Amino acid sequence: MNSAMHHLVNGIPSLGSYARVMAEIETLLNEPHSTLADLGDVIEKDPDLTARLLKLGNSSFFGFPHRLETVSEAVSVIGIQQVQELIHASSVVELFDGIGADLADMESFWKHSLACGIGARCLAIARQMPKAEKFFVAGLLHDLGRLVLFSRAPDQVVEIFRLYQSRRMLLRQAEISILGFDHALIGETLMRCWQYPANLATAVAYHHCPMSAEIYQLESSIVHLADFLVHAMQMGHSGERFVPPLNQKAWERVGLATCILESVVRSIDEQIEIVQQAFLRPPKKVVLQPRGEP
Amino acid sequence: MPNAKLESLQEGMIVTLDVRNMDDMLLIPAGCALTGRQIIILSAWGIAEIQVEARGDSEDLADPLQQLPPETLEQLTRELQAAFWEPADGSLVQQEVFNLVLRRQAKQALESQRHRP
Repeated sequence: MNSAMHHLVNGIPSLGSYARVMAEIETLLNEPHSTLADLGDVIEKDPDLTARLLKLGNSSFFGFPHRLETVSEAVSVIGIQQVQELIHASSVVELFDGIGADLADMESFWKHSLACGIGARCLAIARQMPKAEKFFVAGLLHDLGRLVLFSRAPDQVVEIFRLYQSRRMLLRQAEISILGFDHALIGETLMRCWQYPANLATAVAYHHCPMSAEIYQLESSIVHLADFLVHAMQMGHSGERFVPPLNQKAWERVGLATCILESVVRSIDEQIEIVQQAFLRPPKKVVLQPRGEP
Repeated sequence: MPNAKLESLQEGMIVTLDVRNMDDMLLIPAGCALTGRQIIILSAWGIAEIQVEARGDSEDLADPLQQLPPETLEQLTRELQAAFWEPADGSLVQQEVFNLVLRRQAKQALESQRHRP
């Protein structure tokens, strides 16, 4: 990791206010006699988290045939691993909640990211990928590096946007011109620090150039395609004004029929509102300070 | 009986002609009220349109691109083309996404026109 990158990502906590809940879940998972009810009890101590989990569990995102009434029921049908991932994803949303409106419209940013998560998950399911649910997290966090820039390097962000607006170029090209690297690499670095699985971190790293990935090309291609779709749908805003280029080889690598795209677009439209409600409500302020400030 | 395009199908619409895949396997029998799952199945088999019972609100079934005034459609097309970094007709899949999104935007424009006082 080069020093500029280290400077950006060093010390960003991974779990915010959910650290205690996650630690208790880990402890319970290591106890041989713990039950789903015990896990439910731990999560229910946090009413906000409970509400988010049940809202998502009862939404078209999962599409379960019956209503989930309790957290332990939600854990039993969603699976504890996925619940942990959803809690972690929620914590990231919360962690970057203090970014100023002068740098980014955060509601619009998260709408883009959540839609990308929904799209990546749909594509992974259509492609019959193992553990397709994980792609929601990869899509959600694909622009994590931009959040790091907004919160840790606001002055450089202003410089990047100034360059970006001065000519016809992609935002990541402006990032590379100013920083020497782009948001995708920052996101990957932070995800590796947070010990995310290598396939998800790689998918984030290569979501603009999936065929350059030495491994996990398919995972990277799925996130690339979801990002392209969501940009084309103009759903939310990542900061980028253009629909970024689509890598034709990545589309061929995913190997789906074009008619699948319509159902993916439909799923994004159907699920975005409820997923936004589950992840973006209610905000708890945890403000990250730019590096070097007291 | 009107042909309804996949994107205009809604749950509860009555199918008026058996829907079969390319191997002639029956997917949805005539007379069936469409479910959300069946709409996804149609999409998975690449079936672009089916025959459904005519409804009072037949506008819902028609292609939104054909309902928009030509100048509005032209403007939407121009704006969407300008948003793409590469030409939108650069590849088959890019063209497909462009058409999907254009139809979606046309539908949204029609809906907002209908709700305007």
